[in-house]
Amino acid sequence: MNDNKSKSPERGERTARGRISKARGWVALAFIGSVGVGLALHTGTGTYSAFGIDQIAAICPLGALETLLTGQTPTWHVLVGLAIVVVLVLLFGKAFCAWLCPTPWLQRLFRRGDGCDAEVLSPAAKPTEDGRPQSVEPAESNRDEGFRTVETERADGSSLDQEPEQPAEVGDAEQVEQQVENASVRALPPVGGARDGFHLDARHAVLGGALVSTAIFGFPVFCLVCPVGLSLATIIAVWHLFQFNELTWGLLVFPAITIAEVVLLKHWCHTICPLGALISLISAGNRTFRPKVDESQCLREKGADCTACITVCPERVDPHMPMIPECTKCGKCVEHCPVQAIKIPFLK
Amino acid sequence: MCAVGGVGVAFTGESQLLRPPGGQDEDRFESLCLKCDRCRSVCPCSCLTIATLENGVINARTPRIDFHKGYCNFCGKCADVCPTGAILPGFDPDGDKIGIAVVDHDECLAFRGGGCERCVDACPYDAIDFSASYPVVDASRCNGCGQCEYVCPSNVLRSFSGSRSTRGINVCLEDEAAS
Repeated sequence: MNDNKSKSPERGERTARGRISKARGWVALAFIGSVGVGLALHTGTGTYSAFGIDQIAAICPLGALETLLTGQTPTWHVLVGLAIVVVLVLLFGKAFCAWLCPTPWLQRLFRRGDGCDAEVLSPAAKPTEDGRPQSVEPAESNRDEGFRTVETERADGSSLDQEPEQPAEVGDAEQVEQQVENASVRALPPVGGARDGFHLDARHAVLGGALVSTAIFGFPVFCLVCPVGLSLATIIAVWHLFQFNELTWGLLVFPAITIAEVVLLKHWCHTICPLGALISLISAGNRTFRPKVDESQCLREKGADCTACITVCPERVDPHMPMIPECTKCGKCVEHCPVQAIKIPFLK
Repeated sequence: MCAVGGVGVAFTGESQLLRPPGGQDEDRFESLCLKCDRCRSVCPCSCLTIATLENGVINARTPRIDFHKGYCNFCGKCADVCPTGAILPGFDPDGDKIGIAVVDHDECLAFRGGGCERCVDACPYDAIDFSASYPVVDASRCNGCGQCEYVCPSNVLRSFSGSRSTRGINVCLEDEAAS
């Protein structure tokens, strides 16, 4: 996906584009690589389900919760692992989703650029009340269109035709005065994303279902179909095929389930994934590494109806908003902001 | 999710597997194992491998012991790295058992022609008696470490899938060995 960008002619202001995406790719690849090293060298570091050194390992929070509900008594390792994960999520929010989880990459691979993060709104299509975009178009065209729109608006000032909402307390006379005064630099209010703020949705229902069925059946149920676990299970099965000549049904079934989930269920990340749901519950407390918009540079402050950051956001949040627990720190808004007004600092 | 659980239970499969030392309580193991692969990865003797779908839907991806790939030296690393305690630490090789070695009279070379004492020489626990010119396992001393099965030369060249995968002496679960 990065190749497309590097091949296309780029303007100076877009040179940073793709850098964070590339970094995310390398981080995810490095993690998979560490699993490969573990397979070859017996390091015992682990996989997405549990990763660490010796007795100290971060653990899949969903798996850990499931083991606590099975009726058996796990050892203290679970609680330490859970604590590590809670601290990591409080520190990095939902970064796992964008930086480590293989699902978005699989979606890109098998859906030809129509992946998880392609569910973006075209600049014109504002979210409707139920949070769904009115029109969804292929990602690349969307992005370019987003920029063209911005450019045009800046050039001909057409965005100024739109009436921004004025605060209620501002009087009529004052309002007119302000309009005249700020005709060229009137700030537009933030658009807001469909998934801003903390809210419960279908994913949390799946999460509840996974936990309840685990309590009923007495074993971690979601692990059977987890695309994260199964994608690594596929790698391990392929490894065993070459190392031990083990030809098993898993070689077909594991990738088939994974691909069926992430490709056929198009909105896996936003509407089904119980792991993301659980992480989002914790990431509501995340206060670090949140995207920060430099309002003095943002085009909306200068009156242009730019929605590049929201348009490109795979999680459909608005980096202008203070509370966006769904933000995965993917850096797309940073990369796509036409004036580089967005950064992801340690503290906002 | 309940359907997934139901399918899991429906296709659990009958096969009971040899678990890493400390994971012998099968109910507990099934409930707590997250299939994270850390135990298999850390095993320095390579005797741990990953169960496949053919071993049952719930067993798939869980660790099982394959003594054709190595034997267990009870180093305890698998229990150390287990993030949930599905493999309990504190396995005592002098009291606890992974399983018990059982001689297969049809495959054992000592029964078929004599001369082979590889398992007797390999056993670090003096659990195999060869006074009758064929191996007899003392079930009270055997802890299922698998060294006998690992060194047994019977069928080693025919152990790829599609042919017989048992050796002349095989570690079985305790209840299977008793029957």
